[in-house]
Amino acid sequence: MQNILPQLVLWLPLLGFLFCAASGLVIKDPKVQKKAVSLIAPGVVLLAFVFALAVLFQTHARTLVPLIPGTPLLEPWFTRYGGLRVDFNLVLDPLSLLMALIITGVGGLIHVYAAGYMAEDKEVSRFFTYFNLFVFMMLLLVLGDNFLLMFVGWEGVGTCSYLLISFWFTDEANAKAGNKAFIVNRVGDLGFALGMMAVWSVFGTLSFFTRDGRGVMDLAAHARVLDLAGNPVPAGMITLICLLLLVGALGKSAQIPLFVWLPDAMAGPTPVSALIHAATMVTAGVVMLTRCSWLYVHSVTALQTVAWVGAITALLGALMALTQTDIKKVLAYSTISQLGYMFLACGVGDFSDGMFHVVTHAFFKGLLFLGAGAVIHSMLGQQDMRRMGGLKKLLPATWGVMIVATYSIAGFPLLSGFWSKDAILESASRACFGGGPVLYLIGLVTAFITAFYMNRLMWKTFYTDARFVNGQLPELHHSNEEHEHHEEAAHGKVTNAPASMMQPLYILALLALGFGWFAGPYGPAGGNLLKNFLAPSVAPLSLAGLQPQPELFPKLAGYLISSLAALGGLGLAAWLYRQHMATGELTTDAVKDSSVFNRLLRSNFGFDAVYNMVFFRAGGMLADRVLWHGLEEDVLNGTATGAAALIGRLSLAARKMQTGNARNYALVMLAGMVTLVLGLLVRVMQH
Amino acid sequence: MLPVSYYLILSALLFTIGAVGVLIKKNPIQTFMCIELMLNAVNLTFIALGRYFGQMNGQMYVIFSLAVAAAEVSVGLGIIVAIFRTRESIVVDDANLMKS
Repeated sequence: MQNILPQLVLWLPLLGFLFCAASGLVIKDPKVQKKAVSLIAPGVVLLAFVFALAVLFQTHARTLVPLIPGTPLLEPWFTRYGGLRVDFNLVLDPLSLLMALIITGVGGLIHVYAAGYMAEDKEVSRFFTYFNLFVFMMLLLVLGDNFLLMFVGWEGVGTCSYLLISFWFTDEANAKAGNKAFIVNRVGDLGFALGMMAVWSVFGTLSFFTRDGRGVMDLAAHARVLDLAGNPVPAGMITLICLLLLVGALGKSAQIPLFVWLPDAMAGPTPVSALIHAATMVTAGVVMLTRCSWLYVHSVTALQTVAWVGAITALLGALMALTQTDIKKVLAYSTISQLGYMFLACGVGDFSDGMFHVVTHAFFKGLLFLGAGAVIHSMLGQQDMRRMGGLKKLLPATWGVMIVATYSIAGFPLLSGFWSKDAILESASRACFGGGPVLYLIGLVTAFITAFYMNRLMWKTFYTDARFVNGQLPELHHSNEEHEHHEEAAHGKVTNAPASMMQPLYILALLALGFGWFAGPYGPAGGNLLKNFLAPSVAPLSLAGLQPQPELFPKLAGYLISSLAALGGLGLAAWLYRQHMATGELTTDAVKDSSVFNRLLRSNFGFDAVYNMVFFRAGGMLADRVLWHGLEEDVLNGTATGAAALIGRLSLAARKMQTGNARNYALVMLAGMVTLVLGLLVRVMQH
Repeated sequence: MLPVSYYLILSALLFTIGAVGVLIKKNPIQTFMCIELMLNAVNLTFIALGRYFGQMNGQMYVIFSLAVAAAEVSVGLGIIVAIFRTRESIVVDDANLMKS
């Protein structure tokens, strides 16, 4: 029984995937098929969530320390292939259980929402086929008990991400965005694969935990790390493994320099952005860092790299979000920035607060995306904030949940985002390798910018005057002067999202409001529920003898400072946009274009341009000039045609011998025979 | 008794005549006769040397050789008939399809 429940959690979404994939064969009537798919696909995920909850309560009632890592699932999977043994084992520890709860819980809500969002799409079953497969792969990623199984899930979610980004593939831009995500992730996945091979060659096993304590993490859970044979592992090798795995995490979690795919990934349907590119898949990197925390604490270099990458990504991501006009792109850059916070937390060794932020982020960012989706749905597909405005009156319910999510992500005191972000800032200020004050300052500035760009989004969308008439930009609309007369018609266009789409939003709003308090330091049952729950899965810094630096200032002062940053950002945005109610723009386009800083932000700090230059231009040149015209045409083709021509020449000469005259052949035969006999005679004479 | 070299010289002469005949004759029947001449020249050496060394092997090979020659002639004549049927000519130089 103990083993069946977690298996059900894993297999149910796979069953849903199989059903959705086969639904077209079983059910002939497309309307019935649509209905069945939009019932079953969310159903299996919610059922999986129920089972995951059951696992949580079952184990909680049984033992105080939640679960023993390493629950074998099936027979050995890759048995002893050249000494490599990989079992199809699931690890059921607090970390994987927490992630399974988020994936099935938030994922289930987003499935319900998607059933409403995609209702008018022709290919609902294809959508839910991919969606359920994604949930299965993500569960495999977090539940797998070895690097290879994690890698299977890792690649699986990447594939589903690709399929869903380019879901509306008839539009070339969407197909290109899918390709970009897939190709950029190749870079990261190469790092992951190399890291996995390094783990195998150093430790001699790929398992995280085993019952007899011979998994990689079991071995690393000592002050001196020994490999399977009992030899000490050099510190440099651990650093190498950690840095290679980090490359994988950078790709999947869209960190600098591999973040460029995430903004483009917004081409997919909004539920996809909510589930894959906000709540779950992009946090896979953080989950992997936390899973490998036992290795990371042994390498200060790796920790430092993670922390600085995270801090810089957080800051740059927030800056880039400032200039976006597409509502989903603001959220995409915001996700990059928030993921930077999580990396920062992991880098300073505070893995459990990194996971805390993963959870709260899943709630408020999922909510933001779903809210943005409701806005887009109501605006009949319009994503440009310049064409929105004044939606508060028209979509009060959506506004209500969006404001909760915005204040939560901005770190408004006592909301979820406040608790997790502040925990990260405090840990960052006490970074064990020094530089804490700088990391803290970067985090604080980022928090301020976050509050600003989120309130900018709210003002542009909900508060400023409506800038659409029948979904048209005012200046494009021929009857712009008669705006007032058309207001009724315009409002008739904006329709509220159906109830099935709104219910998941209310639940997420509740979590975005209260979960931070519940799991945070002043929550029930003595506080720090999440931290204590996660403790068995997360390596303490003291394992490698590292100590956090002393606090910069008392806890309460820290809370006060981050509250001020959040309120300052929110207030500044409100104050500025209140002065530009009509246009919703702080300055004119001409001023924006003349500003170097603005152009720099809009061009992603040139990352895309550099990649274009290096990989498309230079790579294309290399492929065209050197590989194609040089190597293939000249060298390879030249060798092949040259050899053929040589043989042709030779055979032209040889052809002359074939006269077709039988008596000539007889003469040659005779000559050969005479030569032979003469040769024999000479041999005989010599003796 | 004649020395064995006499037989061998005779045989060499016969063989040379046969070989030259094969090369210069255009009529396949004549070519065949020349081949038979070469075969029999060889047979003669077999017998002479068998006698010279006092062994039976030489005579045995001659029997083989005769049998092979008979088979060869029958096959060869069959080919000649077949060629005549398709080309209406048995001149050796006319059958030159192998020419490049």
